[in-house]
Amino acid sequence: MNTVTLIARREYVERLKQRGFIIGTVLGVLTIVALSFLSVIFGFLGAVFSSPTSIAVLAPDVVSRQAIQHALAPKGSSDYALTVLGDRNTGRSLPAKLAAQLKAKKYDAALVAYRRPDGQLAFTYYPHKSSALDEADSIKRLLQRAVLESDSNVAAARQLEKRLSFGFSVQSLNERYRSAADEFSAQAIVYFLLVLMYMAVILYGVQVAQGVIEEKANRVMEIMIGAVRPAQLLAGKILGIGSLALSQFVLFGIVGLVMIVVSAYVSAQIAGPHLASAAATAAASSGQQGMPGLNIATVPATTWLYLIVFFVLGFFTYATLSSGVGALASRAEDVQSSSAIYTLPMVAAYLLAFVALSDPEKPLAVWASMIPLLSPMVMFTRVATSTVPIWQIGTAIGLSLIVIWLLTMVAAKLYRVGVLMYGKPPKLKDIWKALRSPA
Amino acid sequence: MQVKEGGVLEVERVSKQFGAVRAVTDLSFTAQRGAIFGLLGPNGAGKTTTIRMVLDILEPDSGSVRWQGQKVDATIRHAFGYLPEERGLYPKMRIQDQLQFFAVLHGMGAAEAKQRITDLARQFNLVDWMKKPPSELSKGNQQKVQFMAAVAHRPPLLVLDEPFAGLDPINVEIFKAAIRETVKAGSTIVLSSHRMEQVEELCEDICIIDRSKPVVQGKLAEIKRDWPNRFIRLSALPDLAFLARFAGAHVMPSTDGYVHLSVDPSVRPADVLRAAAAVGPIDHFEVVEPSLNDIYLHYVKPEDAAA
Repeated sequence: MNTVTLIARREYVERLKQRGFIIGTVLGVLTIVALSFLSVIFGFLGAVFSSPTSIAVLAPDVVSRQAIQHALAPKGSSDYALTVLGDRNTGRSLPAKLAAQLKAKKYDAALVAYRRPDGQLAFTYYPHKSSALDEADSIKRLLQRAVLESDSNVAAARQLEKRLSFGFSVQSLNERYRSAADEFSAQAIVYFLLVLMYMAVILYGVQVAQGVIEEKANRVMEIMIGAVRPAQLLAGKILGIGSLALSQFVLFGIVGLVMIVVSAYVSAQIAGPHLASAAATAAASSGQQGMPGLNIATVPATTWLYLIVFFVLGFFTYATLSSGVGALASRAEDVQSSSAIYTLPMVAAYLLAFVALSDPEKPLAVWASMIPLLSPMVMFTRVATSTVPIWQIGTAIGLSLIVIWLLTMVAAKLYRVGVLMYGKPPKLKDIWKALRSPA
Repeated sequence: MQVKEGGVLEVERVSKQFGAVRAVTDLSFTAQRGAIFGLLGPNGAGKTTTIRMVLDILEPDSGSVRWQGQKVDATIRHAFGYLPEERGLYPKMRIQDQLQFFAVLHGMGAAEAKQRITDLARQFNLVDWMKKPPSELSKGNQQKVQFMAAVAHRPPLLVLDEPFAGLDPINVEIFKAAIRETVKAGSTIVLSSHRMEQVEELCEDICIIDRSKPVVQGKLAEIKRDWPNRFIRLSALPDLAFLARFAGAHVMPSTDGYVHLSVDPSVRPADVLRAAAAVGPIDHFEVVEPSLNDIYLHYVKPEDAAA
């Protein structure tokens, strides 16, 4: 086994066994479980008490209008408040006047029904509020009935076929994003993942610095530095702690996903299918009723891939920076004073990520997304919410890798200075000398 | 046990300066295979700096450190064993795991390391402690673990910085036995210590450094043989006036009830015995070699020792 792996494994195993880590992990899992059950309850309450989605309806004829009303708003149901604006509609497009009303939030969505040349009934759904977007599936399901009822003159033999494929398209009214389906979800999930990344990097990054100082405090590095190169030691530490961080987050992720499924199932048991889908959506969100639905299923696979790539890059960039801080400090208290070295760029990256979230193409966001230390968070925000040229992504990843390598080398040199001068913090002159000497 | 490759450590004219402070000045010595080299000197004389240069932790400003004729670098020092003066173990890691980790880190195979650690645990009477973390051990036992960590991988060069500090007499014996065994297996050992009796027992070659400079070095036996004074210990006498006849003779302070004399090497001990017998009855008369302690005190000035 090579030296770096050996050190990484020791870091991983020993930290895994620490009581603090075990308690933290158990608490984390319990929190996720508790939150998802809370969201089931909130989802249930929300479905019961929320105001109905208001939909403006344009129908082609009286028969279909009645069918729609019957399907979406039967007697005793309060899920949808329908406002029929006319029953002589001919095309699939949204009249300008209605579009303006939607924008003014008079309605949450519009449903335009029309007859195709072959006489078959078709719909275009125009959600404006994101919660209305989430309703698209259940509206489509309910409209099946309307199609059957309104087309009773068509041969019964074709009914089954129509049931399976009638025209229904969703046209999002917000054009800033790549596709309608992940309009809000993309933003919400990016926000959620940014916070996660920020927390992980801060929490585990500090552990790298502390791990380095620990070895100075208990003098183990006197033996270590004889046996291994400082760069190997630091790389092993970062890899070990990084793997542990990833394992813990993967565990939390799996528990979270299981809980989404479980809570959806539980909701289905207590409240029927319609509430279940609402609850599942709510469960996927942070659990607050006030927050619009965050549908994890709508996040494309590439976003998850980029999340992993930029999470790993972000962690290693800040972990190497943190190991440099640890290498310079001789006591745990010194870390406090020099921790600004990595908290400042971290906060800057966090803020710039919000700039990118509001407008992924803003020049500030574009530049920041390629600068190491900032790129993990900013570039992730951009790729998750817009289409980014591949060369920009490549630049961000490449520069980050170079900086990780450079920072490890610098930290290794600083480590040597730090080792020999425990007791007193090294002077700037010593640091400069160390940086110019061969590793 | 057998070391794969013992060898010769050559330190040649190394100097190291920290700012305005000279830590080591023009120091040379050679530690032979299968022998223990004693590095002595007061606190702050430059022992630890020297050790760090030997281990390639510090780069000498001038001069060189060679192992088997090759300049010591990361690859060579990887196999060295080191017992640092500032003891260091992971406080929460089980001793068994910890020793295994250090041995494998120094390049030993996992299975071999496991066997070796089991043997060492038996030798040091620590079998029952191997599953506990160092934080639960007494200081003496922690030191044993530290020593085990330094020798587990059978280092060709073993550097011991104050190995006996804080040990009770029984443990000192265990350590001495372990050190002798390591040497017998072919290791080269550099030992730095304040404990003159142990150094005297163990080391064939020594070097005393004071204020960064070597003040005396060579084979301990030769240093003693060439010592300028001759020491004589004899029964207490009522009158010591006869000593005035002998060149360089003076009485040294003592607490054991005997008279301790220091005389010029030209003086024949037989003449002293005859003159003493004329003054009173002599039950005891012996010519004593200078102890390492005497040599040390002769070369290292008290004001330095206090500094």
